[in-house]
Amino acid sequence: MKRNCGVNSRDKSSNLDLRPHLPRVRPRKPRLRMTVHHYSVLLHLSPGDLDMSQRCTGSPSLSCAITYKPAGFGRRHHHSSRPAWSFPSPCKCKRISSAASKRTLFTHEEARTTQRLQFRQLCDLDAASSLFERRRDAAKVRLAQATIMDTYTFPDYRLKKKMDDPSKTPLLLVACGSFSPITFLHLRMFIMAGDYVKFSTDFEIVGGYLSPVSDAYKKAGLASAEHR
Amino acid sequence: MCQLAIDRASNWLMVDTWEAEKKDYQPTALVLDHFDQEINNVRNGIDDGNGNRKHVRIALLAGADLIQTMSTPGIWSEKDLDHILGRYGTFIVERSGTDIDDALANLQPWKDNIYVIQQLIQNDVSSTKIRLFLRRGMSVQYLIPAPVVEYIEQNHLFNDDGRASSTHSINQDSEKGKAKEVSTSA
Repeated sequence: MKRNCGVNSRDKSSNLDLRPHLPRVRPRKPRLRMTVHHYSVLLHLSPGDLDMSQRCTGSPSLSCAITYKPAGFGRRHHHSSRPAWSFPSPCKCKRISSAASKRTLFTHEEARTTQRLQFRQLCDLDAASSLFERRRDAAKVRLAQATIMDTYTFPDYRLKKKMDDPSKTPLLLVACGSFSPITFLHLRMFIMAGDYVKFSTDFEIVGGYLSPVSDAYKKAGLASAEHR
Repeated sequence: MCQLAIDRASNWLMVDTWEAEKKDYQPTALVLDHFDQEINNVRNGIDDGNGNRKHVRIALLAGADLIQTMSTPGIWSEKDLDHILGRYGTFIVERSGTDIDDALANLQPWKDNIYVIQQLIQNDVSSTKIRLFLRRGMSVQYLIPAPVVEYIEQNHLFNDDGRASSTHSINQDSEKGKAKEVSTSA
């Protein structure tokens, strides 16, 4: 049954619903203001956390005090205003399917959308009974923090997580340049290098990066970094 | 434009904006250091399939024109050359118009870290030629990826020489979120 949404919550490029935690109705004004108690949690980093954070879609580990509202409080007044850095609380949170999270071919937008979905699931932080769950939740929280703060995160959504051939040396290719504009030759460079590495060397490529130069390079014909 | 080009076209290429976001010019050696730091220190290398973490080698991929500037004395500092060619390594794609043996003659100490890739099918496209075409109003279709052609058309990039195109693009993307405008004072 289709309901009218006040806001278009469907992403045009994919079938993922970007706002699964909000009901598909216009929100009503809250009549009462209720105080919410926040809990501060300090996350301690350990090597295990690093491992967990690698399984999420790409965020470096952060060590910071974060505050989150436990799910019980949040549910009653998710329409009220709250600071931007606390977590929104869901009514019903759709879990992203495990199949979607295991896909290797991520476009940039899909990676960001998946990040946002995982972030919304954080409100459903269940009681972490095992160490594994605590670390998993800690990694998710860090991911969310990086998502909200919109800071630079190193992209690793297409980085190989595991090598195919343990006897080879892993290799990462980096191409620096102005890419103003990027041409087929730039892309072909990576592919040719891939062929060369496969047939003539003992390396195995685990990923390739384009690193456009900053605007300070001051070369004639350089479009702004935002475009490139 | 880079993101548009690789989004649906590849399953192992990514765009890193670390260097582009910086206000100052970052030497290539520092950019490679950044990748080394992110992959080998922050992510602890890669799982080799047997559960052991392996150190990932970082290599610079470039065309023969870059290696020619490296072999010309005075352009690159000795320290940078040693860092990029000695500590990391480089894959060079041959291009017509650049004599590779000439370029490698001055880089003998690091020749074990320099791998030269032959182009079996010559591709001579360069960004400079594309910009020339665009300035003259000629079509660049099938020379650069299709989404990039559309993007350039929509945002009217590369219409004039360097100075005009950057100011024009400033007016274009004033609505955009993080626009980094630096007017080229060339």
